Amino acid sequence: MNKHITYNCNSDIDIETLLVEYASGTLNEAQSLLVETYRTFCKDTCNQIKKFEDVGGILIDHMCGSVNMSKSSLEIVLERIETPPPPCKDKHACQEFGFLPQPVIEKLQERRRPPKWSRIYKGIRHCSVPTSAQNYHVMLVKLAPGSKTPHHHHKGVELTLVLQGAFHDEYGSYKAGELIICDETHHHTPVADAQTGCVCMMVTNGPVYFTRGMARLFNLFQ
Amino acid sequence: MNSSLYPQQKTLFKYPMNGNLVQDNYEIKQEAQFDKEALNDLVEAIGQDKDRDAFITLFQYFAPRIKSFLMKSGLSAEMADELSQETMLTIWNKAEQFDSTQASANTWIYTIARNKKIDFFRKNAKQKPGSDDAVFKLEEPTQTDSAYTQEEQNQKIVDALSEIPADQADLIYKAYFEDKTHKDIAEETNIPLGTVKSRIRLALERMRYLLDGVDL
Repeated sequence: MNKHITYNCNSDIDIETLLVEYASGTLNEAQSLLVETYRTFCKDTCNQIKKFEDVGGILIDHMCGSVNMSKSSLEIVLERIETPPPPCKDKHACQEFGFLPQPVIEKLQERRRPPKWSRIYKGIRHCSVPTSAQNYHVMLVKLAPGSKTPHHHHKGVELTLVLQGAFHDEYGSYKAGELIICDETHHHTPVADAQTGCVCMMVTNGPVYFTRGMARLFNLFQ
Repeated sequence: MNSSLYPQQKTLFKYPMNGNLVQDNYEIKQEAQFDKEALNDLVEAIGQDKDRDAFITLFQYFAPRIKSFLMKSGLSAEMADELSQETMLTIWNKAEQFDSTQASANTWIYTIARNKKIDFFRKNAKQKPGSDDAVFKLEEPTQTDSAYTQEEQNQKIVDALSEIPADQADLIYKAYFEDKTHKDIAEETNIPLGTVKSRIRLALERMRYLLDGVDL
């Protein structure tokens, strides 16, 4: 499995729980998107999810019982298979995002307006990804090469998946395909790789707090 | 609701509404099953040849299972019927993408049904019911399947599943059928989250281990 690192997380969340909940269909949409994207980087993760989905397959096939379908259901479906599926709606061209894994692109295409990067701080751009998950936020963050994010911490749990490039902070360095799980006691100052810069997906369930300097002003606007 | 409402019902998860599985009542529904190859062949026939007869056979076998699965997570019979139809339609439309070397047909169908359920709940976020007693009605009598009986194999599966301790099986049931996150389960059962996680993990591993030799 690709590297995944957990910081100061006492119990609420861990990688296996994410994968089991993903497979059993109970994970919220925000974290599901992250798992779906994480699996595109890592065959072991795919296999592990498949194992948990196999359990679902066995359960539905052998253990779930069956309830008679309504009388006309087969007829209705047979009629419907004759009509070709409706053509896909026009999708946003996501040129600026084309390098991202497919699940992210598909989610961006569900937005009402085409996605775009907006600047939030020197060297930092972001684009939010709307989901139905209450209290969760999914954000794509793009750091220019060598740029440094202000020192910050977050309320709740934060999952960060590196999608492209690499970054490091006080605790270690992380490259594409790696997942970092941390809770609110984890304060850090990420710095993008000097050559590649970095694009990450962040899933949080609480606001981010900047703790030093002028960046603290951003707290007022959240 | 109490367990007497489940008189002769044979099902893996005897699920009295007081919340705990009773090991003694642990019975498993036994009925004719398609074996793994037969199911894979059906889906492949649909994908490669747009074989209507194969689709009808698959529908008769799987749609009632999908409906039961959806009803367990709290959908009404009508809604579950409709979503089962949608699931079967998607199976028809996507069967070309099915690859039996990647996943067995029941896993593939499970993921489609699961995703339909997820989409439904996302679109109707407010309608998601909690654990409502009325949700757990008795299953209607099962349609009987004719051919493809593989009793020996079924027996192995049945044995494997009945070896999972009731407290673990209970949690698997909640996680896969009742749409509960690990955290929901912990809150509902007053079992610490860490224990919920480890029991689920153990049960899943045990299932995999026990079923490993079985050609599912």
